[in-house]
Amino acid sequence: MPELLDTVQLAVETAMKAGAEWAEASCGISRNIGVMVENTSIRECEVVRDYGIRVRAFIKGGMGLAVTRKLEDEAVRQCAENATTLARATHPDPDFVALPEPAEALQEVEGLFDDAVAGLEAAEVVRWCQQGIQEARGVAPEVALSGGGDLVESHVALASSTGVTMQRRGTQLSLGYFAIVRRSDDVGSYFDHDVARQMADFEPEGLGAKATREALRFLGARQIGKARLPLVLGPFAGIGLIASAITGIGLIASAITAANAESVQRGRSCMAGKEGQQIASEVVTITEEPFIPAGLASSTQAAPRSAGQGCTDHLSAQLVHSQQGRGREHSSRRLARLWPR
Amino acid sequence: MALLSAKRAPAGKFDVIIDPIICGLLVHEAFGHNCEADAVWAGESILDGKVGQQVAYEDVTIIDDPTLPKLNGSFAYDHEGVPAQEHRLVENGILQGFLHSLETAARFEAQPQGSARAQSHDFPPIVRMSNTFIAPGKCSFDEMLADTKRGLYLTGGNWGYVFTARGQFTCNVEEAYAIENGQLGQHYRNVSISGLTLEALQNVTAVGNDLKFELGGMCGKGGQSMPVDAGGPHVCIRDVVVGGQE
Repeated sequence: MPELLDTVQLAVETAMKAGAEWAEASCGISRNIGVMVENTSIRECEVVRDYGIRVRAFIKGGMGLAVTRKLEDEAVRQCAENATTLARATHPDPDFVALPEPAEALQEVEGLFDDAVAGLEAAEVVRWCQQGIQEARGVAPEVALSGGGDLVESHVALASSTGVTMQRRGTQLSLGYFAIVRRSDDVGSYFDHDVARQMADFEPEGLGAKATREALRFLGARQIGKARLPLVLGPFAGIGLIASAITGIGLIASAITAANAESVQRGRSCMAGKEGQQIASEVVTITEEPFIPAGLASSTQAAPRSAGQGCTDHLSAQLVHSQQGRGREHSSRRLARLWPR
Repeated sequence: MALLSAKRAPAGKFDVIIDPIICGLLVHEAFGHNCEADAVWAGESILDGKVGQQVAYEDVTIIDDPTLPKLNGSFAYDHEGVPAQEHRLVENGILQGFLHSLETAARFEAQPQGSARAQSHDFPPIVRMSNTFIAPGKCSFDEMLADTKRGLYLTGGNWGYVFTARGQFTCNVEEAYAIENGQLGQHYRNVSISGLTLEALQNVTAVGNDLKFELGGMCGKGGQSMPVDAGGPHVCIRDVVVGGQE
């Protein structure tokens, strides 16, 4: 396997030689272990090693994108030339400004990679799942347990024609169970999980038992009536709302999606024109922070903090800020307005 | 533009007429996923042990058919090489069986019927719906409307949330109209409906004769995305919980 940084730099150089005005390449290799639990037994285990490179080339703002799973030099050059050819065929984007410049000092985020996790084999993930099944059966022999465990180990590199270069290793462990208990026509169910980047933060023990105990608690639960009531959201419910940002559905997620600068620019955001206005209760502060050590979605800074990868107080103190890079969720790409419209 | 002047909908239990889009959304999300035999095997389906039982109003027939021409979920062979064929999941309200892959057919001692599909070579084939719909009945929309003294006509919807194991559904509705003595009235927006799947199917009172497929799109399951379609005719259901803001 070639050095990833060499590979992305080769791609950028090739795209520029082929006529690109700007170019960026991202390359990654990963190992994924997945163990699936179904009907309270281990259904399958898979180990997938994957790799590939993505090249983006820009001419007059128009973007060409090419991807390949071959990392040999000749294939990388061909991929970069294809991206440039596509960029030449794309309509210019008059809003395009530039790709981000390198950060003055690269800000590393601690705890994104753990040798202890990277050294694990599939047998260990299988063992956790076996343990979860035993725990669940110990609580309720009739439980139907599904879910499973995953381990991801990745190594990514990025380079651009403006001189940005970065590479990062990452690890992530996750284990989750959905427990269902049926007694006559009554059904109790519950999902619980644990996710961590570091072995020391990961607690697989007891998860199967807890999911099953909670499922049992739902037996006999009544449907609620309809009424307007104040709600107290537990942390888990709050996490769920934020997690639904992936689909853009949910209370807080809606606010975050609406605060995305691309949505504002495209005129589809309810936040358009609301910078500086009170749009939530004064006790509400919503923050996007990519630098939390060992955070599941944290990442190394590759571009100037002012270009958007800095901590963004979306709705800090209920106001939408107007400073560049704060307030709206500007990504480095969005500041440069790279996306074709 | 029409929705700009629409009022917020009332909340409560109503007799409703759902259009083919909402019908498709419910039949795919709230019912169809329960008919996938891998979900049944995993203990996640409300239909486990109910084959041969009445699970819906007697005029309700639910079909999954990959052989229909020009629909988004159509195919000739599934991804295990089994020829595609029509599956009558519910016939006149009685549950007939489930959708099968080779694996689940063996587990259930059933015939494989060509319902296993994979997103690409990277994924294993799993049980998937194709074109899922409520078969048309005999009632026209005008007759259905005329028979409704007080209720809501619900039309358009793009997403829903289903708790398969408990048979609960919540469905977004784009717009609604009040029905008073068989006439469409006040225009509403911001509507949702929720309920228990089997209860709603038992509470169907009329099935329309105007089958349409309006939901061609992608269905996600097990990390895989596959093309599907869903639809139905207008359907009248009594005592549906409507979530409004008035």
